[in-house]
Amino acid sequence: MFALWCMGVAAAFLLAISFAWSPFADSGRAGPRGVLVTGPTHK
Amino acid sequence: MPAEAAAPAPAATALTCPSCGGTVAIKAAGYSVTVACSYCGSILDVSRPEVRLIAAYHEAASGLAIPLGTRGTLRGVEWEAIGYLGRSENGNYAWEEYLLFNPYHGYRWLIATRGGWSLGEQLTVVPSRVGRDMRLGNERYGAFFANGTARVDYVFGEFYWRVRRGDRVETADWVRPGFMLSREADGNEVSWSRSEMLAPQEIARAFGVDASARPWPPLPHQPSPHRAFVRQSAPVALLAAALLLVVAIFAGGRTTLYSGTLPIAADGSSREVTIGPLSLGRSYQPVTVSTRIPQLSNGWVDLDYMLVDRSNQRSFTAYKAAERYSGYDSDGSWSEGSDATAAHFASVPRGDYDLVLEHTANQWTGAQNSGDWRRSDFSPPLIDVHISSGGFPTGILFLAFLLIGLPIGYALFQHLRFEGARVGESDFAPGGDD
Repeated sequence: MFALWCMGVAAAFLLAISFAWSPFADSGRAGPRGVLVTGPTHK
Repeated sequence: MPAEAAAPAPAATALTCPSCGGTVAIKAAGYSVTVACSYCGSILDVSRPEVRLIAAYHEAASGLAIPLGTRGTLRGVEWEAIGYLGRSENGNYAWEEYLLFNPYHGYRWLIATRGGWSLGEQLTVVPSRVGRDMRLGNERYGAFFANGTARVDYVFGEFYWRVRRGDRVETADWVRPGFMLSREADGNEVSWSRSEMLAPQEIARAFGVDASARPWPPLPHQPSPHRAFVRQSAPVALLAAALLLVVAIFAGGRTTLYSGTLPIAADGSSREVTIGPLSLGRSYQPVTVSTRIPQLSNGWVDLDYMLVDRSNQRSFTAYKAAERYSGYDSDGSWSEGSDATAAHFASVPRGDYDLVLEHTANQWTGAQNSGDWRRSDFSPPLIDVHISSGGFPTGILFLAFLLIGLPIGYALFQHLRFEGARVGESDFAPGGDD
């Protein structure tokens, strides 16, 4: 059962690699301009 | 005392209870020395021709999970439940013991503790001591209970020794997963027995008892149900992770598309620069735009990216800000942020692209030093831009590792919780009395 789970994860990984997909990418998102707070957060 | 019956096999016989007149059947005539009348519960001495009443005991044995006389097949041998002992640690931690009998295989014990069942057999050899542990054959048993006292609270049926309510023996137990080694001693003799935990389905199939209860805390010799999964799945997980790592290394080649330096407007106005064409050859690829502003100090640079496909004007947008600040306070100097940042574009299809970069340099007005980093005479503000495609898929690989490791991590947590609760019951538990 766990081997099947690993195979599923591996298949999803290969699919993501072939489509260059990443959940951590920035593309496709509107930049938080105007919302982003700039300036130091030190203390 | 030998557990195996010697030939000839003992025969069943019957006698009349001197207390109530009921007919009492003896399953192991010639072996049993005491019998409890199934009608009135009186304990009878059947070791001599004239049956003698030892103790009249009128508490009915109606609530037994396995009524005496019940037959069941365990591991290919048909056993009959002929005796019952209700025992406890002087009234606490009660458990039940059923004496099983087969004319050709002798006696065994079925021990029921908090819903868990074990099959016990008396030993004809004395285990050897190894430190505080015990060794029986090639098996080592860890010390678990010491200096216990087992008291007989209830007795029904027949037995091969004289047993009375209130009998006490000194006990000690050693365990290994699935097995328990028990020592019982009174003033006259020491006996050793070994019991094996039975699967709920096994005891249910044999005697029809409900063994669905899950004892908690676990029994001393109860094997962790999570151990096998952790042991078996760990190599599979390592293999899968290694394969994914190899795939990621081979698929992770990086190609530089552009590398150059752009000037920044010192007055804080926005500037837009178009870089291209950028040719992407694979069906889909990740694109990374890395920027670095070496002169950045107590300020930030807004960076708007737009990756535009020349053939259809489809665009991918992203926003980043490079920020770096520093100063002094009562604790000394401090700094935060970085002069570098990177934007990651995923799933960019094959084609020729332009990168439209709009950047705006800003000064932090709260800075302790009065200088404006944008107006340095010695080093005019510049942006180093590096554009590449491909690259090691760190994020997705991390996610895959997480998904592979999640079931094992959960099982490991459950295993440690189980073992912690089990060992916590031991007299030798860390922080315990012993």
